[in-house]
Amino acid sequence: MMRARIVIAIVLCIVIVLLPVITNILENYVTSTPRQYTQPSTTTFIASGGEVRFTGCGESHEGADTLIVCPSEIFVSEAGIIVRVNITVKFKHAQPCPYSDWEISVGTPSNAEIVNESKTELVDPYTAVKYFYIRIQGNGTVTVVYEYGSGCPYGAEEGVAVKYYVVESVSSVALEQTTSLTESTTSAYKVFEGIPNVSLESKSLQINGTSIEVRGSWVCNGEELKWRDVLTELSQLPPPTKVVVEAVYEEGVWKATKIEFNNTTCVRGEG
Amino acid sequence: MNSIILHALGVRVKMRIIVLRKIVSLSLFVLWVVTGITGILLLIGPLLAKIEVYVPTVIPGIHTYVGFGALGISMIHIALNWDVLKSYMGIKPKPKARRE
Repeated sequence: MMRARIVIAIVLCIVIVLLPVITNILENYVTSTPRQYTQPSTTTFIASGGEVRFTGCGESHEGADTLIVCPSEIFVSEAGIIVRVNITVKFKHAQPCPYSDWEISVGTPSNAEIVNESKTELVDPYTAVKYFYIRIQGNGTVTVVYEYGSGCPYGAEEGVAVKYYVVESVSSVALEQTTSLTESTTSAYKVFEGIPNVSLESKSLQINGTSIEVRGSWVCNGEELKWRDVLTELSQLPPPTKVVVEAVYEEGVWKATKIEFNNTTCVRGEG
Repeated sequence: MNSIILHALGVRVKMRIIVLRKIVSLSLFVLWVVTGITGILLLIGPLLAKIEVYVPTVIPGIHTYVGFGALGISMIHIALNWDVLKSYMGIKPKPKARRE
């Protein structure tokens, strides 16, 4: 009887001792779906009458979590160019944690303006992302701060400064490339204004020599249109009609997000 | 002859149980101390963070694993002291069947 009791107790002991190990293995198994990370390399592209160059990412890892901001340095050849900055926080412990009032904030930039700031999104229990667009007017710095939850014993604050410069010749700037992980490629954003040259074959329009792709579905003054309809309408504009195109630089090309002409505003839809 | 063998076997079993009691009690003591220290560190961690002293990130892991270790070994401890525990609860042991 005694022996049976001890054998049962030993089995129970093994099960209980292995419980956190099994939980850990299961947790790793569940969260081990491969994530697509891109390596933000030094990127150079020619914008309309200007040039923009990014470096890699800035990192802060004072406490348990890591704050990653991409790009860490931006060089533009003219004031007014808008650049997207991606923020990623890698948590050491799965969220929600007991100190869940952590916060990612963007400081007030010098010689620049934050034109759009997204909400912080938890993409998985270990990763939070946020981005903002900054219109660069001159040399300056903007600081991104990640504050740990109040009372968190593993750290107080992580901070990364993003530096930006307006330089005459961007291509001549020697950049020290850093590598890190980011969820999406850094992109720039610009407003183009001029008389468009429409090409239905290449699904694009040209303004002042810069080709801008027009793809997907669009909403023009409440009416849903396809890219072909938008380009057809633009090609039929009596010259010289100026259009204003807001475009984002992604995957090596400018992509139109908003087109304004003759009191018509077209915004790119989800599709 | 048979009774001598049975007696010898009984003594060996009792000896093994004594050794098991020793191992279980000592392990439980060590695990209790470690769980207690890591628990105190986790409790005062938020207070220490305010003066910029941070608890190492391995502490919650140690606390969890050692705590589960203590819980597991306490099962064997209960099994070894089951009769005593029953008597504390006022449950009388069943009378042993007499050999014919």
